[in-house]
Amino acid sequence: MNRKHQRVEPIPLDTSALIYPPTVAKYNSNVFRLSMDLHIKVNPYRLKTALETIIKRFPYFALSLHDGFFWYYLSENTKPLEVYKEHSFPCAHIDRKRGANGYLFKVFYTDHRIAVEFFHAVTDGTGGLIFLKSLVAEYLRLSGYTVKEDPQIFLPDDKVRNEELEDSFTRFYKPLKSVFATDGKAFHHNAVAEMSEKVQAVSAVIPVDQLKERAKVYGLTITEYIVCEILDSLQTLQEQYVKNPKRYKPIRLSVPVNIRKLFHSTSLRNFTLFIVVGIDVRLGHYGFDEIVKTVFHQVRDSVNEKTLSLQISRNVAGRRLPFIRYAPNLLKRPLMKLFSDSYGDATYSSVFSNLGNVTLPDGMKEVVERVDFYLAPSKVNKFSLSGVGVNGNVIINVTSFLTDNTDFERTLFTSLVEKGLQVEISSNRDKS
Amino acid sequence: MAYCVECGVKLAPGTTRCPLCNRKVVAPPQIIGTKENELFPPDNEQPHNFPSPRLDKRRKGLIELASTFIGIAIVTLVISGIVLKDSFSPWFSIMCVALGSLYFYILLFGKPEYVRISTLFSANTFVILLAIDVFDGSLSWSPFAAAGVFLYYILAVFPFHRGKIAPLKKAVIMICAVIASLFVIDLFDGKGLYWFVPIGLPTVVTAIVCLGLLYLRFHFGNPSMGDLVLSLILCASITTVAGDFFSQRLIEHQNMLSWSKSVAIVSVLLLLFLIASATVRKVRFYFTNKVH
Repeated sequence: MNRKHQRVEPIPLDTSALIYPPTVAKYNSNVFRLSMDLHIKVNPYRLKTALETIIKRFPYFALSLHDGFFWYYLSENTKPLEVYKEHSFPCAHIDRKRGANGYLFKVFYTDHRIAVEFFHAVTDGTGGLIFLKSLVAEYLRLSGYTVKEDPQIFLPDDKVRNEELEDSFTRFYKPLKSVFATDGKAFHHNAVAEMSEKVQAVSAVIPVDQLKERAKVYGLTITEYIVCEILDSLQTLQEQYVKNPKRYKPIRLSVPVNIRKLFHSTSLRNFTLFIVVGIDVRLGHYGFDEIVKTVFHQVRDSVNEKTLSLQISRNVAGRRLPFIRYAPNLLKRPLMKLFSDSYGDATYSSVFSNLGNVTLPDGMKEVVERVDFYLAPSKVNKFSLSGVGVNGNVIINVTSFLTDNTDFERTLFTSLVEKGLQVEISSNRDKS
Repeated sequence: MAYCVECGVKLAPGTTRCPLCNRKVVAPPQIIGTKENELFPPDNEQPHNFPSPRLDKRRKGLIELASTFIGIAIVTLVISGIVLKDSFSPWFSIMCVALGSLYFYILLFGKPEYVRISTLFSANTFVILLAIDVFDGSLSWSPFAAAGVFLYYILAVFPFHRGKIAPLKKAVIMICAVIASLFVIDLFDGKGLYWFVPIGLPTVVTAIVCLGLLYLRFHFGNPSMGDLVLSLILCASITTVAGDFFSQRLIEHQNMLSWSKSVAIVSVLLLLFLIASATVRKVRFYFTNKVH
């Protein structure tokens, strides 16, 4: 295939992507998924053409992953691109050699859907959304639709800006004396239930007006309100499963924050940090109002330039430590696998990533029915949550490895129903 | 579009069971609706299987770390062999490292099942012992070791094997294997058959008799777990004493026992204790549970 796009030299992984390739294993695919359901029928041949056209604008996604002596690195991939028929379970493992011709993303289609699954080492949710919007816009253009301009839709002939390729963590790194502190273990749902690599998803559609109204009662944003509800449900779950209160563990939720706006970055590689909000139930049961107060203060304390700068400096400084930097990948790879959970997944009970409201330009919003965002769960955190807003609805997707246990999902969504919200549920668990 | 009466959530069109509580939706078909845009296509329509890793993060990490260290050890040995030339041959050490590391891989790669892991461990031990003996230049002590490994396998692994062999057949095989092992050990120790007939066989017969009595006691009685443990200790003690007794007879010593006198005292005490506890239990049962 003769793809005339800007040639990309081998590039190192960005700072927050370093952890993803070595930690790929069973129950750890490190994949996220974005999809758009359309009113029109999807033609796979046209979709492939659209993909081949639009990838020229995203040369930093047309990459393959390789082992280096010290670190993994990305290099240009010129193998043919493919589009795949949708599968039954989202966020499946992408084999970096055989999975998608060496690409680290996969484009899927059904009769009315275009979806893309990204290995997290390439980009984050925001980067993935820009790619999907641009792909769908290109597909619609090829189908005869006129799509208006949008800052998040890139045209194939636009010039690729160098800033899109940068590792923004390195640019905003301040050599602060950072503290490498870690939290203790958090509560994890340890139900005796069958686990399968096939990710089970439950999707809830909630009208945004109702959520806004509810969040306004407590003076919270929609994300903060959902975080409170998740923490409350996790508290209920712990009380249900752990009979002895002396064995209670703190409940923490990791919430990825897109820091591009805060730091004025236009990078399309990973530029997300995680804030951890939680309640320490060892001190006693938290009423919903107490959770609201705690979350309100924790979020506002964490999401500001200074606190986030400290996290950036900690991440970058860790990478620059000589004994980490010059240790061979052969040794780093297993050690990252063995210790990543202690410093990551084990310290929080689950993840909730909210992509925010997706705006669609004229010509596209008439065609796009819904947008979905899914995060892969992990072995330690057996379920993950993701949210996205579109067309007056907020869609919350819960992905899980537990095949026959939906206690968490049930607690969360029935709690929302009890508060007067209309929740519409669909799932790939439904075998009827 | 229906609602789940249990959870209160609205269900997507065409859903006949609530995905949260699995409760069946009881409503007219026009309310349930028909499936339009499914969240994901059904499992049976999956067009291709994606290769996925077989091992989880922790196991994979341990295997990679072990492989790295084993690799480093082997490279170091090879370099030492090249540098030191004739004064050091690395092959024996490399073989030990490679075969020794197999224990680790057996433990991490396979399913954690006792029979499977013990069988592979036994086989690996047998290969290691044989290889070390071969490196010495002749097969001198490895047949004894092999018989020991075989005996371990027959006594500690074989009874737990999930096959179609009846328990009685298993017992017969175990007894025959024990006798055969003792026979081989006696045959290969250089003196011909010296102790197998006068000591080995009578001791095995004593053990079989003890275990037979134990079986009968458990088959016709209702002893507790404590009784079982104590009875097994008693069987082992009597067999030990029997071994000592027959060895004393072989050398025609005037004493009946030599080193196992204290074991014999323990055996007698254990036996008395078991008889006393069984009698006390029977008497108590007679006076408390009589139904006339």
